[in-house]
Amino acid sequence: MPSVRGLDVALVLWPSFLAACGASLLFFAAVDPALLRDAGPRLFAGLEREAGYALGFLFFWAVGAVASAISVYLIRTARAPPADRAPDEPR
Amino acid sequence: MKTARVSTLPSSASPGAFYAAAPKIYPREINGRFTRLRKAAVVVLLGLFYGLAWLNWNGHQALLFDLPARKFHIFGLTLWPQDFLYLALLLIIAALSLFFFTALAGRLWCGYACPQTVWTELFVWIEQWTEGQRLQRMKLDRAPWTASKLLRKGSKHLLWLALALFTGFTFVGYFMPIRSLGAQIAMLSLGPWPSFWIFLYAFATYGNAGFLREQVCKYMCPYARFQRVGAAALPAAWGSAIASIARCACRPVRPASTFATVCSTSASPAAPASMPVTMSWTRWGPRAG
Repeated sequence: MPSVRGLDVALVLWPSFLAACGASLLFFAAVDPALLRDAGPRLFAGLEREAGYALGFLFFWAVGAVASAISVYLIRTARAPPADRAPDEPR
Repeated sequence: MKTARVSTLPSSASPGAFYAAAPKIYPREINGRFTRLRKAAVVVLLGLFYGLAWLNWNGHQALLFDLPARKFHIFGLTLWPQDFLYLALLLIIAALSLFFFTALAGRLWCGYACPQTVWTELFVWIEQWTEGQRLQRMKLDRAPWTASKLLRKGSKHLLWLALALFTGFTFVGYFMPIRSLGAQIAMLSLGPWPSFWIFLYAFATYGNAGFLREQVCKYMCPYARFQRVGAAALPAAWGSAIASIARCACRPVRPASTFATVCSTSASPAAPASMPVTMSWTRWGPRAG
Protein backbone atom coordinates (compact mmCIF):
# COMPACT_ATOMS: atom_id res chain seq x y z
CA MET A 1 0.00 0.00 0.00
CA PRO A 2 1.48 3.33 -0.97
CA SER A 3 2.15 5.88 1.71
CA VAL A 4 1.20 9.49 1.09
CA ARG A 5 4.77 10.30 0.19
CA GLY A 6 4.90 7.35 -2.16
CA LEU A 7 1.65 8.46 -3.70
CA ASP A 8 3.04 11.93 -4.24
CA VAL A 9 6.04 10.46 -6.00
CA ALA A 10 3.70 8.44 -8.21
CA LEU A 11 1.53 11.49 -8.86
CA VAL A 12 4.61 13.40 -9.97
CA LEU A 13 6.32 10.73 -12.05
CA TRP A 14 3.40 8.96 -13.64
CA PRO A 15 1.42 11.75 -15.36
CA SER A 16 4.67 13.32 -16.51
CA PHE A 17 5.70 9.96 -17.95
CA LEU A 18 2.48 9.76 -19.95
CA ALA A 19 2.88 13.35 -21.10
CA ALA A 20 6.51 12.67 -22.07
CA CYS A 21 5.39 9.70 -24.20
CA GLY A 22 2.95 11.89 -26.09
CA ALA A 23 5.38 14.78 -26.37
CA SER A 24 8.17 12.56 -27.68
CA LEU A 25 5.83 11.00 -30.22
CA LEU A 26 4.74 14.38 -31.56
CA PHE A 27 8.13 16.05 -31.33
CA PHE A 28 10.20 13.31 -32.92
CA ALA A 29 7.64 12.72 -35.64
CA ALA A 30 8.48 16.23 -36.80
CA VAL A 31 12.12 16.56 -35.71
CA ASP A 32 14.90 14.11 -36.49
CA PRO A 33 17.19 13.91 -33.46
CA ALA A 34 20.10 13.80 -35.89
CA LEU A 35 19.26 17.44 -36.53
CA LEU A 36 20.43 18.23 -33.03
CA ARG A 37 23.78 16.68 -33.82
CA ASP A 38 24.17 18.39 -37.21
CA ALA A 39 22.67 21.77 -36.56
CA GLY A 40 22.37 22.00 -32.79
CA PRO A 41 24.77 23.39 -30.23
CA ARG A 42 28.26 21.97 -29.90
CA LEU A 43 27.12 20.08 -26.82
CA PHE A 44 25.24 17.63 -29.02
CA ALA A 45 28.08 16.93 -31.47
CA GLY A 46 28.57 13.22 -31.91
CA LEU A 47 25.11 12.42 -30.55
CA GLU A 48 23.63 9.20 -31.84
CA ARG A 49 20.00 9.13 -32.93
CA GLU A 50 19.18 6.63 -30.21
CA ALA A 51 20.74 8.87 -27.60
CA GLY A 52 18.81 11.80 -29.03
CA TYR A 53 15.51 10.00 -28.63
CA ALA A 54 16.32 8.93 -25.11
CA LEU A 55 17.57 12.34 -24.00
CA GLY A 56 14.57 14.01 -25.60
CA PHE A 57 12.22 11.67 -23.78
CA LEU A 58 14.01 12.18 -20.46
CA PHE A 59 13.91 15.95 -21.01
CA PHE A 60 10.15 15.92 -21.61
CA TRP A 61 9.72 13.69 -18.58
CA ALA A 62 11.72 16.06 -16.40
CA VAL A 63 9.75 19.10 -17.57
CA GLY A 64 6.47 17.28 -16.96
CA ALA A 65 7.68 16.14 -13.55
CA VAL A 66 8.39 19.72 -12.54
CA ALA A 67 4.87 20.74 -13.53
CA SER A 68 3.35 17.76 -11.69
CA ALA A 69 5.46 18.46 -8.61
CA ILE A 70 4.23 22.04 -8.46
CA SER A 71 0.63 20.86 -8.83
CA VAL A 72 1.00 18.31 -6.06
CA TYR A 73 2.71 20.87 -3.86
CA LEU A 74 -0.07 23.40 -4.38
CA ILE A 75 -2.75 20.83 -3.61
CA ARG A 76 -0.97 19.49 -0.54
CA THR A 77 -0.28 22.91 0.95
CA ALA A 78 -3.79 24.27 0.35
CA ARG A 79 -5.40 25.67 3.46
CA ALA A 80 -7.61 23.44 5.54
CA PRO A 81 -11.35 23.89 5.16
CA PRO A 82 -13.20 26.06 7.64
CA ALA A 83 -13.95 24.18 10.81
CA ASP A 84 -17.68 24.80 10.69
CA ARG A 85 -18.50 23.27 7.34
CA ALA A 86 -18.14 19.89 5.74
CA PRO A 87 -16.92 19.95 2.14
CA ASP A 88 -20.07 18.64 0.53
CA GLU A 89 -22.46 20.71 2.59
CA PRO A 90 -24.35 23.21 0.46
CA ARG A 91 -23.62 26.80 1.28
CA MET B 1 -24.18 24.52 10.84
CA LYS B 2 -23.25 20.91 11.06
CA THR B 3 -20.15 20.15 12.97
CA ALA B 4 -20.56 16.42 13.29
CA ARG B 5 -18.93 15.62 9.98
CA VAL B 6 -15.93 17.84 10.42
CA SER B 7 -13.96 15.24 12.26
CA THR B 8 -13.95 13.08 9.15
CA LEU B 9 -12.16 15.69 7.10
CA PRO B 10 -8.57 15.11 6.18
CA SER B 11 -6.50 18.03 7.30
CA SER B 12 -3.85 19.46 5.07
CA ALA B 13 -1.31 17.98 7.43
CA SER B 14 -2.43 14.48 6.58
CA PRO B 15 -3.65 14.74 3.03
CA GLY B 16 -3.65 11.00 2.55
CA ALA B 17 -5.85 10.18 5.49
CA PHE B 18 -8.46 8.74 3.17
CA TYR B 19 -6.21 6.25 1.50
CA ALA B 20 -7.23 3.26 3.53
CA ALA B 21 -4.24 1.09 4.16
CA ALA B 22 -5.11 -1.78 1.88
CA PRO B 23 -3.86 -5.17 3.01
CA LYS B 24 -2.03 -7.29 0.49
CA ILE B 25 -4.48 -9.01 -1.81
CA TYR B 26 -4.12 -12.74 -2.29
CA PRO B 27 -6.11 -13.53 -5.42
CA ARG B 28 -7.87 -16.86 -5.32
CA GLU B 29 -7.83 -19.13 -8.30
CA ILE B 30 -11.22 -19.11 -9.92
CA ASN B 31 -12.81 -20.99 -12.78
CA GLY B 32 -15.63 -20.23 -15.13
CA ARG B 33 -16.53 -18.90 -18.51
CA PHE B 34 -15.10 -15.42 -18.03
CA THR B 35 -11.90 -16.70 -16.51
CA ARG B 36 -11.45 -19.00 -19.48
CA LEU B 37 -12.02 -16.04 -21.78
CA ARG B 38 -9.48 -14.03 -19.82
CA LYS B 39 -6.92 -16.81 -19.98
CA ALA B 40 -7.49 -17.11 -23.72
CA ALA B 41 -6.97 -13.36 -24.06
CA VAL B 42 -3.73 -13.56 -22.07
CA VAL B 43 -2.40 -16.40 -24.22
CA VAL B 44 -3.38 -14.76 -27.51
CA LEU B 45 -2.22 -11.24 -26.66
CA LEU B 46 1.06 -12.22 -25.05
CA GLY B 47 1.62 -14.76 -27.81
CA LEU B 48 1.26 -11.94 -30.31
CA PHE B 49 3.53 -9.66 -28.30
CA TYR B 50 6.33 -12.15 -27.77
CA GLY B 51 5.92 -13.85 -31.15
CA LEU B 52 5.38 -11.08 -33.69
CA ALA B 53 8.76 -9.57 -32.97
CA TRP B 54 10.42 -12.66 -34.43
CA LEU B 55 8.30 -12.86 -37.58
CA ASN B 56 10.03 -11.90 -40.81
CA TRP B 57 8.37 -10.52 -43.90
CA ASN B 58 10.07 -10.11 -47.26
CA GLY B 59 13.49 -10.26 -45.71
CA HIS B 60 12.94 -7.82 -42.88
CA GLN B 61 11.25 -7.90 -39.48
CA ALA B 62 7.50 -7.87 -40.05
CA LEU B 63 6.74 -5.36 -37.34
CA LEU B 64 9.58 -2.94 -36.73
CA PHE B 65 9.26 0.65 -35.64
CA ASP B 66 12.81 1.35 -36.68
CA LEU B 67 13.55 4.51 -34.75
CA PRO B 68 17.31 4.62 -35.52
CA ALA B 69 16.46 4.60 -39.24
CA ARG B 70 13.28 6.68 -38.81
CA LYS B 71 10.95 4.37 -40.70
CA PHE B 72 8.22 2.00 -39.58
CA HIS B 73 7.85 -1.42 -41.18
CA ILE B 74 4.39 -2.92 -40.83
CA PHE B 75 4.44 -6.12 -42.88
CA GLY B 76 4.65 -4.99 -46.51
CA LEU B 77 4.14 -1.37 -45.62
CA THR B 78 6.85 1.18 -44.88
CA LEU B 79 5.90 4.40 -43.16
CA TRP B 80 8.12 7.47 -43.14
CA PRO B 81 7.97 10.40 -40.73
CA GLN B 82 5.76 12.34 -43.15
CA ASP B 83 3.16 9.58 -42.82
CA PHE B 84 2.71 10.47 -39.18
CA LEU B 85 -0.87 11.49 -39.95
CA TYR B 86 -1.83 7.84 -40.39
CA LEU B 87 -0.42 6.96 -37.00
CA ALA B 88 -2.34 9.84 -35.45
CA LEU B 89 -5.54 8.68 -37.17
CA LEU B 90 -4.90 5.15 -35.94
CA LEU B 91 -4.51 6.39 -32.37
CA ILE B 92 -7.72 8.42 -32.63
CA ILE B 93 -9.58 5.38 -33.99
CA ALA B 94 -8.16 3.27 -31.14
CA ALA B 95 -9.29 5.81 -28.52
CA LEU B 96 -12.77 6.12 -30.00
CA SER B 97 -13.22 2.37 -30.27
CA LEU B 98 -12.08 2.04 -26.64
CA PHE B 99 -14.94 4.30 -25.56
CA PHE B 100 -17.34 2.68 -28.01
CA PHE B 101 -16.76 -0.86 -26.78
CA THR B 102 -16.83 0.23 -23.17
CA ALA B 103 -20.18 1.95 -23.70
CA LEU B 104 -21.45 -1.13 -25.49
CA ALA B 105 -20.26 -3.97 -23.31
CA GLY B 106 -18.60 -2.60 -20.18
CA ARG B 107 -14.97 -2.63 -19.24
CA LEU B 108 -13.80 -5.19 -21.75
CA TRP B 109 -10.50 -3.38 -22.12
CA CYS B 110 -9.76 -3.40 -18.41
CA GLY B 111 -10.81 -6.99 -17.92
CA TYR B 112 -9.24 -8.70 -20.88
CA ALA B 113 -6.87 -6.60 -22.94
CA CYS B 114 -5.14 -4.03 -20.74
CA PRO B 115 -1.41 -4.83 -20.49
CA GLN B 116 -1.65 -4.28 -16.75
CA THR B 117 -4.29 -7.01 -16.51
CA VAL B 118 -2.53 -9.35 -18.87
CA TRP B 119 0.91 -9.20 -17.26
CA THR B 120 -0.52 -9.27 -13.76
CA GLU B 121 -2.34 -12.48 -14.72
CA LEU B 122 0.91 -13.98 -15.93
CA PHE B 123 2.74 -12.93 -12.77
CA VAL B 124 -0.04 -14.36 -10.60
CA TRP B 125 0.29 -17.66 -12.43
CA ILE B 126 3.98 -17.73 -11.57
CA GLU B 127 3.10 -16.85 -7.99
CA GLN B 128 0.59 -19.69 -7.80
CA TRP B 129 3.08 -22.06 -9.32
CA THR B 130 5.90 -21.25 -6.90
CA GLU B 131 4.00 -20.36 -3.72
CA GLY B 132 0.82 -22.36 -4.09
CA GLN B 133 -2.82 -21.43 -3.71
CA ARG B 134 -4.25 -18.50 -1.79
CA LEU B 135 -4.23 -20.05 1.69
CA GLN B 136 -0.77 -21.50 1.15
CA ARG B 137 0.54 -18.10 0.12
CA MET B 138 -0.98 -16.42 3.16
CA LYS B 139 0.52 -19.08 5.39
CA LEU B 140 3.88 -18.74 3.69
CA ASP B 141 3.93 -14.98 4.21
CA ARG B 142 3.29 -15.44 7.94
CA ALA B 143 5.76 -18.24 8.33
CA PRO B 144 9.31 -17.63 9.54
CA TRP B 145 12.10 -17.62 7.00
CA THR B 146 13.16 -21.15 6.32
CA ALA B 147 15.08 -22.72 3.45
CA SER B 148 11.81 -23.78 1.85
CA LYS B 149 10.33 -20.29 2.08
CA LEU B 150 13.52 -18.80 0.68
CA LEU B 151 13.41 -21.25 -2.17
CA ARG B 152 9.78 -20.50 -2.99
CA LYS B 153 10.09 -16.73 -2.70
CA GLY B 154 13.45 -16.68 -4.44
CA SER B 155 12.31 -18.74 -7.37
CA LYS B 156 9.22 -16.56 -7.72
CA HIS B 157 11.29 -13.41 -7.95
CA LEU B 158 13.83 -15.06 -10.20
CA LEU B 159 11.11 -16.11 -12.62
CA TRP B 160 9.47 -12.69 -12.39
CA LEU B 161 12.77 -10.97 -13.13
CA ALA B 162 13.57 -13.28 -16.03
CA LEU B 163 10.14 -12.72 -17.51
CA ALA B 164 10.38 -8.96 -16.97
CA LEU B 165 13.79 -8.79 -18.63
CA PHE B 166 12.60 -10.85 -21.56
CA THR B 167 9.57 -8.55 -21.83
CA GLY B 168 11.84 -5.51 -21.88
CA PHE B 169 14.01 -7.16 -24.51
CA THR B 170 10.99 -7.98 -26.68
CA PHE B 171 9.65 -4.46 -26.29
CA VAL B 172 12.90 -2.89 -27.42
CA GLY B 173 12.98 -5.49 -30.20
CA TYR B 174 10.06 -3.69 -31.83
CA PHE B 175 12.15 -0.54 -32.11
CA MET B 176 15.44 -1.98 -33.29
CA PRO B 177 15.88 -5.32 -35.11
CA ILE B 178 15.35 -7.98 -32.46
CA ARG B 179 17.74 -10.52 -33.95
CA SER B 180 20.72 -8.16 -33.94
CA LEU B 181 19.62 -6.97 -30.50
CA GLY B 182 19.72 -10.57 -29.29
CA ALA B 183 23.13 -11.08 -30.89
CA GLN B 184 24.46 -7.95 -29.20
CA ILE B 185 23.21 -9.17 -25.84
CA ALA B 186 24.77 -12.59 -26.42
CA MET B 187 28.10 -10.93 -27.17
CA LEU B 188 27.70 -8.52 -24.26
CA SER B 189 28.19 -5.60 -26.62
CA LEU B 190 24.85 -3.88 -26.14
CA GLY B 191 24.93 -0.09 -26.28
CA PRO B 192 23.98 2.01 -23.27
CA TRP B 193 20.63 3.26 -24.59
CA PRO B 194 19.10 -0.07 -25.61
CA SER B 195 20.22 -1.45 -22.24
CA PHE B 196 18.62 1.52 -20.49
CA TRP B 197 15.29 0.95 -22.24
CA ILE B 198 15.34 -2.80 -21.62
CA PHE B 199 15.99 -2.31 -17.91
CA LEU B 200 13.43 0.49 -17.62
CA TYR B 201 10.73 -1.60 -19.24
CA ALA B 202 11.72 -4.67 -17.26
CA PHE B 203 11.60 -2.66 -14.03
CA ALA B 204 8.17 -1.28 -14.91
CA THR B 205 6.87 -4.77 -15.71
CA TYR B 206 8.29 -6.25 -12.52
CA GLY B 207 6.92 -3.46 -10.36
CA ASN B 208 3.52 -3.08 -11.99
CA ALA B 209 2.64 -6.73 -12.47
CA GLY B 210 4.41 -8.06 -9.40
CA PHE B 211 3.71 -5.48 -6.72
CA LEU B 212 1.45 -2.60 -7.70
CA ARG B 213 -1.24 -4.64 -9.49
CA GLU B 214 -4.70 -3.26 -8.69
CA GLN B 215 -3.13 -0.11 -7.24
CA VAL B 216 -2.33 0.89 -10.82
CA CYS B 217 -6.03 0.77 -11.67
CA LYS B 218 -7.06 2.54 -8.48
CA TYR B 219 -4.49 5.31 -8.33
CA MET B 220 -2.65 5.57 -11.63
CA CYS B 221 -4.93 4.75 -14.51
CA PRO B 222 -6.60 7.78 -16.07
CA TYR B 223 -9.05 5.57 -17.92
CA ALA B 224 -10.44 4.08 -14.72
CA ARG B 225 -11.03 7.63 -13.52
CA PHE B 226 -12.89 8.47 -16.73
CA GLN B 227 -15.04 5.46 -16.10
CA ARG B 228 -15.87 6.62 -12.62
CA VAL B 229 -16.88 10.08 -13.73
CA GLY B 230 -18.67 8.57 -16.68
CA ALA B 231 -20.03 10.21 -19.77
CA ALA B 232 -23.28 11.11 -18.02
CA ALA B 233 -21.76 12.38 -14.79
CA LEU B 234 -19.21 14.63 -16.43
CA PRO B 235 -21.64 17.38 -17.47
CA ALA B 236 -23.17 17.12 -14.00
CA ALA B 237 -19.80 17.82 -12.42
CA TRP B 238 -19.32 20.78 -14.72
CA GLY B 239 -22.84 21.93 -13.90
CA SER B 240 -22.16 21.86 -10.17
CA ALA B 241 -18.90 23.73 -10.72
CA ILE B 242 -20.70 26.44 -12.63
CA ALA B 243 -23.44 26.55 -10.00
CA SER B 244 -20.90 26.98 -7.20
CA ILE B 245 -19.21 29.81 -9.10
CA ALA B 246 -22.61 31.45 -9.49
CA ARG B 247 -23.31 31.01 -5.76
CA CYS B 248 -19.99 32.58 -4.89
CA ALA B 249 -20.66 35.54 -7.09
CA CYS B 250 -24.06 36.17 -5.56
CA ARG B 251 -23.38 35.64 -1.88
CA PRO B 252 -21.81 38.12 0.47
CA VAL B 253 -18.55 37.22 2.14
CA ARG B 254 -19.06 35.45 5.42
CA PRO B 255 -17.02 37.22 8.06
CA ALA B 256 -16.30 34.12 10.12
CA SER B 257 -14.58 32.30 7.32
CA THR B 258 -13.84 34.05 4.10
CA PHE B 259 -12.63 30.71 2.90
CA ALA B 260 -16.18 29.51 2.54
CA THR B 261 -16.81 31.81 -0.37
CA VAL B 262 -13.94 30.47 -2.38
CA CYS B 263 -15.30 28.23 -5.01
CA SER B 264 -14.89 24.54 -4.85
CA THR B 265 -15.46 22.36 -7.84
CA SER B 266 -15.42 19.30 -5.67
CA ALA B 267 -19.13 18.78 -5.39
CA SER B 268 -20.07 16.10 -7.81
CA PRO B 269 -22.76 14.20 -5.96
CA ALA B 270 -23.78 12.58 -9.22
CA ALA B 271 -20.55 10.69 -9.50
CA PRO B 272 -21.13 7.15 -8.35
CA ALA B 273 -18.64 5.54 -6.05
CA SER B 274 -18.23 2.56 -8.28
CA MET B 275 -14.56 1.95 -7.63
CA PRO B 276 -13.51 0.57 -4.27
CA VAL B 277 -11.49 3.66 -3.51
CA THR B 278 -11.78 6.70 -5.65
CA MET B 279 -10.20 10.05 -5.36
CA SER B 280 -11.96 13.28 -5.70
CA TRP B 281 -9.67 16.26 -5.93
CA THR B 282 -11.22 18.68 -3.61
CA ARG B 283 -9.19 21.63 -2.55
CA TRP B 284 -8.36 19.68 0.58
CA GLY B 285 -6.77 16.82 -1.18
CA PRO B 286 -8.02 13.37 -2.00
CA ARG B 287 -10.77 11.65 -0.14
CA ALA B 288 -12.63 8.42 -0.50
CA GLY B 289 -15.46 8.65 -3.00
